[in-house]
Amino acid sequence: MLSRYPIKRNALLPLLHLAQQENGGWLSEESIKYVAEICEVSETHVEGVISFYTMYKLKKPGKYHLQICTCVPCCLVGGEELLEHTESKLGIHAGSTGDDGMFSIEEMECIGACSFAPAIIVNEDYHEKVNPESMDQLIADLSNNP
Amino acid sequence: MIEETLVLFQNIRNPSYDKSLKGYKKVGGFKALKKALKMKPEELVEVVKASGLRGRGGAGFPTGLKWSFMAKNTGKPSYLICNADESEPGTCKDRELMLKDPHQFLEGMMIGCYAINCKHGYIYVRGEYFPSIKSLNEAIDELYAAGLLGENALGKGKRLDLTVHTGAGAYICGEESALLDSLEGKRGHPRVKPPFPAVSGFNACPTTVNNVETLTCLPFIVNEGAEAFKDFGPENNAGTHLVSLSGHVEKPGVYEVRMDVTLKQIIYDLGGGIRGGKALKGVIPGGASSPVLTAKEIDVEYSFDALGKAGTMMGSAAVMVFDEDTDVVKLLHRITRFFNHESCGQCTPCREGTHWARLIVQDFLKGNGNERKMKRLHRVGGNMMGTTVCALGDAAAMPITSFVTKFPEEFEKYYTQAAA
Amino acid sequence: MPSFELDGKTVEFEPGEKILSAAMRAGIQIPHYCYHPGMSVVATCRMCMVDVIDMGNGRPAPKLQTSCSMDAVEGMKVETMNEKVKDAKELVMEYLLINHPLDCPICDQSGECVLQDYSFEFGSGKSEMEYSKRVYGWRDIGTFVALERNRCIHCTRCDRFTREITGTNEFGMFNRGHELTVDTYSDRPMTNQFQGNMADICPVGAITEKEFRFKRRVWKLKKTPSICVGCSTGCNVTIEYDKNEVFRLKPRDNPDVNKWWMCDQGRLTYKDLNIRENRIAYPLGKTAEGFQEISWENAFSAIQEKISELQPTSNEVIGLVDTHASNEELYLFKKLLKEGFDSDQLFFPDLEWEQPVSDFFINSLITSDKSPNRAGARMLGLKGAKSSEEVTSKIPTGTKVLLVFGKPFEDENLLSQAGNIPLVINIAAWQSGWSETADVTLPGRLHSEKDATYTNKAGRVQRVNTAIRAFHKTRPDWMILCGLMELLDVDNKADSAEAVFQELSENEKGFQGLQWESIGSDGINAAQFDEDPGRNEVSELSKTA
Repeated sequence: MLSRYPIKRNALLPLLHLAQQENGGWLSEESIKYVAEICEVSETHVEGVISFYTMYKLKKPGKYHLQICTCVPCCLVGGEELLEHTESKLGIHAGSTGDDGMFSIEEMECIGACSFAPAIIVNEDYHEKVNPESMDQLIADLSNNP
Repeated sequence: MIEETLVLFQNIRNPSYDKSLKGYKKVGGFKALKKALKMKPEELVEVVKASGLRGRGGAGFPTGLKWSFMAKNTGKPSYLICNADESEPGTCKDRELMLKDPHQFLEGMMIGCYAINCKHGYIYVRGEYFPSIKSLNEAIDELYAAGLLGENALGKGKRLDLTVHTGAGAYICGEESALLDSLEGKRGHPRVKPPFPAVSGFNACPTTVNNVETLTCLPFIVNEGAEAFKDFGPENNAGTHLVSLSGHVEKPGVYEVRMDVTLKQIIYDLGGGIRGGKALKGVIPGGASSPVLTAKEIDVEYSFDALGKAGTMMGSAAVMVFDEDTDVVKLLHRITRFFNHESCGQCTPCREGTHWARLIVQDFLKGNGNERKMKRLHRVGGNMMGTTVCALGDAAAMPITSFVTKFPEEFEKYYTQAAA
Repeated sequence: MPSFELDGKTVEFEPGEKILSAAMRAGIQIPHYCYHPGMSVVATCRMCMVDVIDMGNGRPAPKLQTSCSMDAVEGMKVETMNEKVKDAKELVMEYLLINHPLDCPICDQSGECVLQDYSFEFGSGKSEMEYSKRVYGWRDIGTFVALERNRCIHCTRCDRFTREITGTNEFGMFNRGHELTVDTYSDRPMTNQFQGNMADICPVGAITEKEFRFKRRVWKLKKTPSICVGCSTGCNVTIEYDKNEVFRLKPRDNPDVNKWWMCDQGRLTYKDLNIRENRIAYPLGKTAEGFQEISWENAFSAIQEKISELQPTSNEVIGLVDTHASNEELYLFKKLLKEGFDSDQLFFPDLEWEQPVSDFFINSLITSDKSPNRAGARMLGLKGAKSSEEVTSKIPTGTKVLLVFGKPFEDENLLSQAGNIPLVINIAAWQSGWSETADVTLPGRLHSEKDATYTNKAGRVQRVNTAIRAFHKTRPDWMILCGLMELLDVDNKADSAEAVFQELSENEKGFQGLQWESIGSDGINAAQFDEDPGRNEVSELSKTA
């Protein structure tokens, strides 16, 4: 990865993604230290970068991380209601993880599936034209697949 | 009754299209690259200039002209960076291209690299676009395997590499100088310009940043010529383009049209009109940062220039339609919440203004509105225009001022019952 | 030189210079927060916006431009005070204040806060913000400074400082949008030796010096230009004091010495200027019963008596001086020995010294030579000794008179050997082994209590000015030396430090052509200096950050 860039520091964002993937979906202090070393930047710099972008997590997410978009187009066709429904269904608020570690919810800004709204991402997969019923089905399917 | 004009979507609309390298070559893929390699880079730039291609990312800047700004003979490598950080609310067109016809886009990117003497191009894809990233990486692997990338890609001894670089969740990184900072491994703060990227961009080297769709137009331009591209549209608004239609229409989706159709035609002919037979209240014509249009204003030609004259903008060609039942103040609140969340925070007007504007709209929703606060909202939001480092300040200001001006009765619904 | 027009005035500029920088050099104030001449331009505070009504090509700029980032162009016309610009400044002030805690009554920056000043000058005077402000807690971020994030206006100078100036990357920006904040990483306090500068560059009271917090209001402080005597760099400082107590030292700009910076150790030397316990307050005479306070007349007459009794020859008189002595003092001491005793046996500690070689200029400010005037001693041709042993060997057994200025070569063996010398005189401000040994001790003054010049590591002569009132019966050291010369009938007309310097510059080759007046507050390079490492390095490094 480092060889694809002229300066080591340029690889920071992809490497943080990789470190996050390998660490179960979040970045620990060791991950941060390691990435800082191989990119030859200070840890302050890495921390600053992590706090700037929304995708880097400092806490372990659920097995299935539900990223629900509530931005303008999704909002127009029920994105916010979908979020509320999911929150009450799972008993957790956006930004947190369930006690059993199965699900976590994150409220997203536009995820780029506007014409197929409401849309969500589960871990890395897009699910489009989701409504409360199909959401319930999805949760059920995922719950049966621990 | 208008229909789509298929150029970019020609393959995608074919249900039996095989998007692999083999499939793309079967329908004539990579002929354009071969043709381009026979021209000199300077000639290629002139062809693109003559075609009238304007940037499809939101600013609509003439692409050929942008390429001609590249600093030459600096001794530093030149870079072409593709902006695939599609984050403007309402926009989902680039992902269609990357997901369903990656080779067409990649061919365009390679043509672009050749035109500006770039040896290693980067495609900055937003981090959430997992399917697109996968699709692009698979396609690029195919190209390396076939020898179309790597050594001798652009001719004997002329190497070309492409790397997909993932973003990590920041709308501001779609702004070209913030994208460059993010690509360099820093926080995505827009830079003060001058110096412009064409002089000092990625790692202080001459750089051009182009949108996915812009680059995807290149194979057609090279194959069929500049005039053919120009023919598609009105003067100064050449080519077909992709419109992301969403909101309260029967048939939301991404459609490819010429620029001489009207917004009304897009909504009613292609989009099937308002769902549930409701009446239209308003349209956001060019992504969340464009001034809103009321139902009476939609009979406007959907082109860069005509929309500009009508007091709004094309932006990323994301049309968001809302019907008579929509709570406009709630809609504005969602928009201000978006900009508040996405502001990078470095310059004073945007950092404080997006936050304050959002708080005022929230106050309205709580039932505390009054005329004084209306004026304040207009002032606070409007003051971000022209005073910030980058265009996010302008983008945040325009929805606020346009909503307040065009839908005052909606806000009055939230005025307090008690005297102001 | 090319020029442009600003508010009707002609302003010259260097090619490639920005409008703001040229205006500041011409003495025109354009308000700004994030711009700093020593760091990169970010143009994010938006306070320095101006109206470029002619960009130099006959056309106006499409919107207001930040003067810190726009290149000056020949023929440009700029306005900084029209309605558009006034409105822009007012709106920036309004935006900045909506999240600012406005705790001026308890904030140390009050009185030297540009947020206050610009608010007063350009603000609208009222706020329409009626919602809660964002709140953070107090943070201890380093050995020297504290962070109050509520007050931060996000100028990012502190972030650029640890990145570009010290290269230590300890400080950074975190989060985004209105939650943007500056901080250290993960509760790790800063350890660089230049933290005090961050308090200086912070335009508001977000970063403050722990030493100075809550001690005194800045408008009560008197300010006197001086230099730091903590090491041989001689950073230009201002001594800030009230009622004869020094509260802090702040660096003065000097592009040829310290640029805008000074080190934290140097800042802490302010404490020395207030210590009274180890000071010598009165002339002291050694008697069988111990040390007795005597009057100046008695001290001088005692010395005169003893010298007449001893009748020392030229090789029986030795002088030792430390390199804290000023140029005037060194010169007079040399003259005293030469013309009073016909002796040239004057030794000073000439130890090896070094300064860090670094990519970052600021690191070169701290040298290992913790005295301010070794260069002066060298330039005046005094004899350097590398150690106390060497000096001891240079003091023959029959030595009759030993004059010690300051506390050089404070070594047990030397001190006990000095006990055998019939007359030992110590001129010093501080008590030391020498004041314990001397027969007569004459109290001198600290650099904050007198006018004097010092020569720094690069051969630059710099002045200090009297700030603190004299301590008890101390006298300026040049005056003490003149008094001693008088005892020996040495011809001396000097009646002030300035007059001594005048004589010095006429008679000493290294100081030729220098005038007290022309040294001014910036100092001036001496004509010749055989070493010159410091000067070359400064001029090279000043081309970079």
